[in-house]
Amino acid sequence: MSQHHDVNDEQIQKHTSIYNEYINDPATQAELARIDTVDVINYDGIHIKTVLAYISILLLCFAQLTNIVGAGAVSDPESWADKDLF
Amino acid sequence: MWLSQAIVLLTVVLGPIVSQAADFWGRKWFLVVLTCFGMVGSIVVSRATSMGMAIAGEVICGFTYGAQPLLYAVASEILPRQYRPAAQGGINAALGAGGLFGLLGGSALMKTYDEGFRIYWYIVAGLMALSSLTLSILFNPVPRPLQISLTTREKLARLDWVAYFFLTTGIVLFVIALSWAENPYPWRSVQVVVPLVIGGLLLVALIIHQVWFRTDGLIHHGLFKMNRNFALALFILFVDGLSFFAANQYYSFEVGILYETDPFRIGLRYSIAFFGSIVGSLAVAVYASIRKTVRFPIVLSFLMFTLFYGMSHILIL
Repeated sequence: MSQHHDVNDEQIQKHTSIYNEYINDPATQAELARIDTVDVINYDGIHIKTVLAYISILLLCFAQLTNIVGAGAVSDPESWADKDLF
Repeated sequence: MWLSQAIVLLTVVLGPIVSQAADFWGRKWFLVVLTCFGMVGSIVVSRATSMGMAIAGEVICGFTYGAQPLLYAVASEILPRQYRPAAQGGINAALGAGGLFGLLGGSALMKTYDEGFRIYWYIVAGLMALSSLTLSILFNPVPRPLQISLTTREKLARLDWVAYFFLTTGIVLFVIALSWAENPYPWRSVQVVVPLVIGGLLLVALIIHQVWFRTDGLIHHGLFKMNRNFALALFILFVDGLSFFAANQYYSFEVGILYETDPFRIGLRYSIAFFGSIVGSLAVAVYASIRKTVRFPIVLSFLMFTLFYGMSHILIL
């Protein structure tokens, strides 16, 4: 997978060890809501790539709601039928 | 009604499955590929020559919403904890802006052109294509531990296939029965009773399976054992979704019957909700960032939901 190409073994080991430590320690289970950011899986520091990824997520949110509203409130099958569109 | 119902159905059915699978295979390609379905579905709707074809297009679009839960997860995962309220607020504001654009732009297109809906769905297809493209280029997360430590066979074995079967078949049959009841078939007809009973039984089987036979499957017991917050959040989201889709489906219809005939003015009335959601999302993001709590904004927003639906009930014509 192309996602893997810029990840070295050290990073993988670090994330895996954090995860294993976390899931195997019952004490940390109770702290799920308060887990530190640096321990969150996939968090890799805030930089321009992170901001761009976030903006692309916002764009998808925008597109999804445009679609939902289009299928619901905007679409009026009765008027489509009245205008003999199909 | 089936146009928007297709989206709701696929969101309910695919959301939990995709969310679980994304823990094993990563978020990226679920987001990218499922968003492509939105583009294809929108093109099908835009070229529809029958209502059946338009509904089929929306079904294809519905696959996009299987990845909807990932949007919130990704925003939380890629940004530092201190920015999370702002990140979630930004997502809600973007959703509100999309709703606003869809309502005002869409209703203006419907009003101006006889076949304005086709232009609208071209625009949606373009937005979906752009979203998929930007995600494929810009979103490159570090692989999750389970993504690299498990083989494909192990990943497939960890998925809760029994639950997926009960959930998918149960929900679809149950919803079809409710949709057909009294329109076009009477409640007591075979077409309504059979899917209603079988769908209901399959959903009961899902509950039994998840409570007694699988503790780490689709509904992981660990999420409910820590405290009541997760269960409360699920209930709140259920009511939130119910309220949104009720308004999305019926508010414009109601206004069109009772007060307005101009599609743009109908859209304008409903759009007030989205103006409110944008302002509200940003205000809550600021509040939550400063106060580190979301209880008060949630209580306030649900009081406003209650007020809206209460006042809708006593409309004066």
